[in-house]
Amino acid sequence: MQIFVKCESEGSVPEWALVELQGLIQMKEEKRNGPTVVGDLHYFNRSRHPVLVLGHHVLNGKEVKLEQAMAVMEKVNEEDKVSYRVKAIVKKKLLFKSRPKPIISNVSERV
Amino acid sequence: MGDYPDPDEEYELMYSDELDLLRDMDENSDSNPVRKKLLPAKRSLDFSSPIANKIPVVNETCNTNAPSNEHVSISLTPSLTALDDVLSPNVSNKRTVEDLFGDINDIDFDNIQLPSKRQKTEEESDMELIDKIIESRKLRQILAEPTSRGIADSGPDYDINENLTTNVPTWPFMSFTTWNGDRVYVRLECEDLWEKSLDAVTNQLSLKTTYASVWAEARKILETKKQQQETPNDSEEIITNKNVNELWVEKYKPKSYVDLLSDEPVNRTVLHWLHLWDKVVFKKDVKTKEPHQRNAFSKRTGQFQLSNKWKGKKEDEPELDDDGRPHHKVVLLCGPPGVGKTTLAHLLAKLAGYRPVELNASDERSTEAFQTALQSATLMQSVLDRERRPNCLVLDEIDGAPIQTVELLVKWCTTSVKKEEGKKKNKTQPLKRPVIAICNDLYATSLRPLRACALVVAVRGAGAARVCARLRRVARAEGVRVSARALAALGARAGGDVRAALQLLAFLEGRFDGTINIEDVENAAIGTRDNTTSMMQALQAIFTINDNNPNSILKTIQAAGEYDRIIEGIFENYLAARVDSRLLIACETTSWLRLYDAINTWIQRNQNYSMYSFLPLCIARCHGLLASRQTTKVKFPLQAQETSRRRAELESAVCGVRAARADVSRLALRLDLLPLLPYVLSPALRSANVQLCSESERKSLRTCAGAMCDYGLRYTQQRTLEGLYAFVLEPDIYKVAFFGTEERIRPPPAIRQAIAREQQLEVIRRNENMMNRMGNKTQSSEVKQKTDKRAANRDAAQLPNHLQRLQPKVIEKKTTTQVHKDFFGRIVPISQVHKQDAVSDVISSSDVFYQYREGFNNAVRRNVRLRDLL
Repeated sequence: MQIFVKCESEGSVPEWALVELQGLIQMKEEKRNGPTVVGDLHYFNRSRHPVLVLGHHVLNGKEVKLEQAMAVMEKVNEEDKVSYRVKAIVKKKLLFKSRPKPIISNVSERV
Repeated sequence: MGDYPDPDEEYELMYSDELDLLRDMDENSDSNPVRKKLLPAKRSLDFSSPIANKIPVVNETCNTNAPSNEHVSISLTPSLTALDDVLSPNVSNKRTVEDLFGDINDIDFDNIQLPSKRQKTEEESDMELIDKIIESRKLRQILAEPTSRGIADSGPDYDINENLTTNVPTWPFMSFTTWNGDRVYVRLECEDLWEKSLDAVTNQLSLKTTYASVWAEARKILETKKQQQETPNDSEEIITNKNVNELWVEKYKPKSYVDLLSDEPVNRTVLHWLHLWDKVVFKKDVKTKEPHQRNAFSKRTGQFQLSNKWKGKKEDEPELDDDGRPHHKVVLLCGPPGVGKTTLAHLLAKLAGYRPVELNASDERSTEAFQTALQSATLMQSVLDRERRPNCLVLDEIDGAPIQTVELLVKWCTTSVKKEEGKKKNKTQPLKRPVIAICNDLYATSLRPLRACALVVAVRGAGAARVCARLRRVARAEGVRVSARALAALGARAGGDVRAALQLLAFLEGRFDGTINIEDVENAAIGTRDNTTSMMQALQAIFTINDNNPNSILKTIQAAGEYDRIIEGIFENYLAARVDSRLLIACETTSWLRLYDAINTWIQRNQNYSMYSFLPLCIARCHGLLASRQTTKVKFPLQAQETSRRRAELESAVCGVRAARADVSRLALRLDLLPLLPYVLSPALRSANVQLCSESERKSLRTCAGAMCDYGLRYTQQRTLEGLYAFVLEPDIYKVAFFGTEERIRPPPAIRQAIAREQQLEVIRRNENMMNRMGNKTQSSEVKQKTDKRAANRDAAQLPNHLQRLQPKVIEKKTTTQVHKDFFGRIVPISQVHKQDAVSDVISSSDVFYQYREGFNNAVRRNVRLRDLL
């Protein structure tokens, strides 16, 4: 039996990256649904290190090349025929394993 | 030898004689042939050439005869005039004398001629001496021949008319002009003749016997002169006695050491001290005989140590210091007025050969004036004083001088000569003259520095008997008839004050015209010294029985005045005053003390002094109860003062607490709160480190700090005497709470420190609370005021009383627009600031937050089957 894996776009397959966090992302108020902005991911210009601003924390991470590249695929059912469509390829992951640094924002005038 | 002129004056004398002589010449008068015969002969040479040349010639002629004769010849020439006066012999007389004592002359002459040989002859045998004499006699005979011839020849030569003329003479001459312009011609003689004539003269004048006799006669004359001088003094004294204007005190001032009324040891001490200065002032060796005496004493008795002991500690200090000055540079005479301190100082200074310079209270005594006075007195010498005596500074009434002055004097005293050499810049020079300071009150505060370095001599009043004797003498001298009893009364009344006694005598004399009875003395209103008995004297009098004058106690008490202090003294001493096994006396005494207290309180309260005169009566009653014959040592009343001091201290502590807690009454504070407060203030902490304490301990610490804040207590750091810092509770309620046993319950120093820190924190905390409360109030609108008030009331109701505080009105802060600046000081536009603010707000207000767990991973591995994929 054959399973077809197709690359939809002819040109290039987008390359994604994994984000590995050692910790929990929590919400202050659980009730809210829908998509939520977790944080901002930046890169340092010079060292190309990823920086994740999450809540009031800044996480400094690094890019790690995965031993095995992975593909993100989507299952497509077409008339009993199952095929997979490659959405992206993951070759690296952003590893944030160091202790995050807090951001002290807007210190009030009276302590 | 003062009568004999020194060489300079001698020349003048010779001149004057000469001129006199020339004047006589003109008148052709020969009143004194000897003088004229002797002197012109000399002068004929004197004026032939400069004087300086000729005098040595005279000496040389003597020297040829005897090398050691120079001294004699010099001393003889000035004595010529005296000789003229005394002897005034004529020519023939001289010759005969010479002839008569020719033999003796020979020997004398010989001895003078050969002094060195004479010394030898004394040591050697007599035979040699005899030989010498014989030899010299032979020589003398040879020499005598020409001299006799010379004198024989010169006899006519000395005729004035032949030697001096106003016309130009035919013989060899020397011309000179007299003071009035006349020309006079003096005969010049050949030198041989001159020498021969000199021989004759020296022969006559070198007679020691004559010289001695002349000297003795001169002395006699001097003595008679002295006596003559002394006798007029006596008569003068008698005359001055009639002088009414002079004060008797001045008139009968002691004029010699014997007259002094002060104690002999005192006089001796001061005089001895004055003599100690001799080495510096007169360059004399000071007699310090006492050690020698002691040695001698020890040799005889073999008890050196005993004598040493007996001498006491005074001997330990050397009397002279390294500079040869006395160890004590200043003598401080102290004593009551009128006993003769000033007189003593002046008289002894005069006796010791000084000129007393007095500086007393009427002179200016600022530091500069004093410095100049001190300098002029001690460094300079009086020009006016004929005897050129060195000064002795007498500082009268120095206890009235400002303290800087005294300090200056002390500085002068303490600088030594050696120091002076070391530091030339030092302006103060060492004291080189004695300084006698006189004071009434030895213990005046200004004298404190001086007392340490001065020899303190207390002058006490003379005894009544001596005063009486002196008064009698004065009365006799003045011709006043005073009965012996009256004199005794006078003396007793003065109580050692000679000046007062004399003044009273003078006063009575002037009043009663020469007869004074005892009634007059007793009735006289003056002359009694102000009866200020001191408080201690009065106390002593209260505790002793006075047999002589049993009724005087009331007077004594009234004189002393301070009744309160006396009562205090009685209260402190009454239990020890008499043997009182059943306490009856004590009971009685306390009842009188109580009465005194009642009266005194009443007087003080009503300010009505009509009862005041009863106070001394109470004390007198106490005297009647307590007086005893045995001498009791009366203690100075200090306890009352001490108690009142402590009381004030405790009161201030209570007041300090009350300042914080005005709502509590004083009594409640004292009885209920303060005794228990220390237990709150000493929390049981196992260690001073608060971090290590358990929760309950911390709580007790908080309580302690809170209580301290409530009662306005705090620990302050104070430097102790050892230089350490200690935490001291202020106000110190421990002293109020416990009497004397407070040290036990005080927390240890480390814990005190912890408490102090906690208390400060507590203060901050409370302030914060208050701020918050006030902040709330300002925020609340007027609508809410009511509820706020209610709440506040509720708060107030809830809060215990001691926690309630008045809250100060809040001053609202006006918010000024802040200008933001970046790192370099440039002003950042507000929009940017806002943006930054917004960003930061997003960050701080984001819902998502991250909880870091190191090494945490919730990734899941699942097995995927192929059918799942299909």
